[in-house]
Amino acid sequence: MKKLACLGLILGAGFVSGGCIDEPERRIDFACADREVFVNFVSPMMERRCGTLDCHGHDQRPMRLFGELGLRHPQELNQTGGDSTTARELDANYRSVCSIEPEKTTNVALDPGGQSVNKLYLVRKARGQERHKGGKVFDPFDDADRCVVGWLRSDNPRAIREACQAALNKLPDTVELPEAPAP
Amino acid sequence: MVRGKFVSRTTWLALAGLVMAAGWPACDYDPVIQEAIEDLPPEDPDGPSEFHRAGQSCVDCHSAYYGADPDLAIGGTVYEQQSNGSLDPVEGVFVTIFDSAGASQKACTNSAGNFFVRLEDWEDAKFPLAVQVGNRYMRSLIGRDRSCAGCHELATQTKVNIDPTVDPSTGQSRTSAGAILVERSTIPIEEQCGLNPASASSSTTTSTGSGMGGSGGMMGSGGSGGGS
Ligand code: HEC
Ligand code: HEC
Repeated sequence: MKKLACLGLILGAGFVSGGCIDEPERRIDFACADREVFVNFVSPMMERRCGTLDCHGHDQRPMRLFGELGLRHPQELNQTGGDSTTARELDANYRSVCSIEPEKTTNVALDPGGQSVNKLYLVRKARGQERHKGGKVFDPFDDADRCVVGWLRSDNPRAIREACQAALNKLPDTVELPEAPAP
Repeated sequence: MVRGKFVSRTTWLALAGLVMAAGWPACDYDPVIQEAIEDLPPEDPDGPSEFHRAGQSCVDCHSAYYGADPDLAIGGTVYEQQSNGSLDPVEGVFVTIFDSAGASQKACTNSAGNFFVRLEDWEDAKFPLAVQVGNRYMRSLIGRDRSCAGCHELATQTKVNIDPTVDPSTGQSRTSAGAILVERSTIPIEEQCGLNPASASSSTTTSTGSGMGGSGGMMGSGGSGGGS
């Protein structure tokens, strides 16, 4: 229980540093790729491609995602199809995606540009390489795949933005992602 | 002897019949769909027809799972909201569904606002799907649900009581997009159907290659979604 609470805390705080103050001897650090990049570029794409109400936009599904066009946060009063995705929802999405496989995700985050990203459930399930109720939804190296994989392995934010925007451009909704930060 | 054999055969048949009638627990028993079906209100007084169960999840029943005939690829109901909030069915508007492989289907709503595409007319729809009703476009995609009502759930008193986000008129909430709404007076002539003798009265038409989002398939290989 304590361990879980601790994990949530670290994930929420933005990682790598920080541990569980109560239990220094059982300290575990988890890392996940950049929060800003996720919130600005990756979440808008995943909300629309993965977070529909009949898929991960559902209270009872693993990797639950919230968003403007899907499930809304239970502690807020928004409606599906209403106001934009909120800060709390983006935060919940980040935790949700980062905590699927905390250890493996940490290893990927600590090895920028590495190949271990290809072993993550998140990537394998989307590619249909692992049992996935939604089947194959991304092809390796298509825009949506590059958007998620690029973020996980800490590629250049500009490249990530470009891939996420290209994936969004194929959807009926019109989304203009914010500019990537200057290098 | 012959008689004895006959009796045991009928007994066996009767037993089998009983078990089937009680709902044979098929291997792919789905508690989620089962519960959704059991929660539905009783059949319309006029009995089953293409006009029945407006606003409900058509394909939970019209599928291999429940076995209502015909099997449907897609089904739903379209409404117009009146100034007092009440929902009126909209008859005679085209619903167009675009799949990820560039194919599309059109269906026309009937006097209950219901429309559907038979599975035999669209067995290989590639999910996700995009949707247009008259002059309204859905911004989001359908990931796998073949019933519009899966996401466009209407309001019920129970839901209004437990969830403060539910709009008592449309049903829109934190988990539902609410009724599918159009405004009759703004629907362009080419999106009207059925009522106009010039347009075909058949309920569906198909086209391939127009696809959404212009060039190429909208999302790579497309998923394998679809109701169960
Ligand atoms: C609770 C299950 C259930 C739901 C929900 C449901 N149906 Fe049906 N439907 C049936 C049954 C049962 C029949 C009768 C045929 C049969 O017994 O196989 C039927 C019959 C029909 C028929 C055939 C009528 C005829 O004259 O042959 C159509 C068309 C139809 N339904 C359309 C719809 C549409 C559209 C919806 C959604 C708005 C819908 N149904 C929702 C169970 C259902
Ligand atoms: C996976 C969930 C889902 C399914 C299934 C679904 N919708 Fe939607 N729909 C939404 C959401 C969420 C919205 C609100 C935001 C938007 O436009 O995407 C919406 C909005 C709409 C709108 C826009 C209404 C307006 O106010 O302009 C139309 C039209 C529509 N849906 C039609 C349909 C039809 C027809 C079907 C069935 C063929 C369907 N939808 C199935 C989730 C869904």
